Amino acid sequence: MGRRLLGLVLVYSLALALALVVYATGSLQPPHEIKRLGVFYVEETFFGNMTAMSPEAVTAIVWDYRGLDTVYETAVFFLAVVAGLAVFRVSKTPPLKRGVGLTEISRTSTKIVAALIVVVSASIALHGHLTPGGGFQGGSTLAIAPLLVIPIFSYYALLARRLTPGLLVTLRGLALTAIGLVALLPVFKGLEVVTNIRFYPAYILGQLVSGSLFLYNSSEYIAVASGFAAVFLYLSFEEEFHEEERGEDHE
Amino acid sequence: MILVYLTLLFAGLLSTLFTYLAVTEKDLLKAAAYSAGQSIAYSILFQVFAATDILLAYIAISVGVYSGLLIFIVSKTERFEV
Repeated sequence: MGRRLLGLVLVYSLALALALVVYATGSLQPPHEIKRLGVFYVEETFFGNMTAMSPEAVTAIVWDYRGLDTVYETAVFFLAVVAGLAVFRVSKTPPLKRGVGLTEISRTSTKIVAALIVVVSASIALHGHLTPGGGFQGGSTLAIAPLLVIPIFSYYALLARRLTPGLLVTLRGLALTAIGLVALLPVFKGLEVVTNIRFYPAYILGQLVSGSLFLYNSSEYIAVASGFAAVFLYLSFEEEFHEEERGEDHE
Repeated sequence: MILVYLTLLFAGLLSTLFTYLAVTEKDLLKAAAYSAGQSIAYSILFQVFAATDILLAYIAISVGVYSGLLIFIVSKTERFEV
């Protein structure tokens, strides 16, 4: 315990010394003006000539102005989940048993919290073009719901409701295909790839949808949530099941 | 303004404390909980810096998904570090 305390004191003294150096050199001061690039985004996202028709500058940058960066980001996430699935190499789901789960208190509170998580995540993702948030944020929030259900109700609760890894991976593939289609569709009308406002409508039934931003956000929402949920399901299968699967593979 | 700096200081020191505890802890489940504590301190920092978009992704990933994954992985090995 004495050594742990000594280490902690050392860490804090180093942090304090660093903070003093930073403060003394004066580099702590925040800038007084916005950079030219920042001014461009602030002025253009909703009102300018190069508008994305979205009051949420971050979503407009992520899906429109710097859309190519997001393509690579989504590709990295896609490949990471593919690599995860390749490591587990599961072709079947375990036979359905009756899981035990935890106590009545945790079950009831999880039911309430899981419903709230679904609602909040939908609001984060589908309002991503209006308020802070977006498809990735909403999707990763939604993925917490199965993550809670698995330890508290056991994963049979998900499998019994047909929420199998196969279905989740298929959903993810469909959602990623939808993202690709939204990006490619303008090409058939002679416009550039990932065209936004010149091809997609900014308003639908009087509601601001910011063109393709809403479509990207809702597809990414499903893709991220189902990708994470599939990984959690694979991880929660018992080791014996994984060993059986591998044993069958070798024969 | 001074309140902002005090919140920054508090969250920064709290995150350092949680990181230190997570690194030195031998019980891996407790270490995962400390790591989640560090993430909450960072979330406060993101909120103070007005980076709400990052905060929304960060809090779901680092407190929820990351802790969940760590606990799954600990369940596949042993709970105590030797």
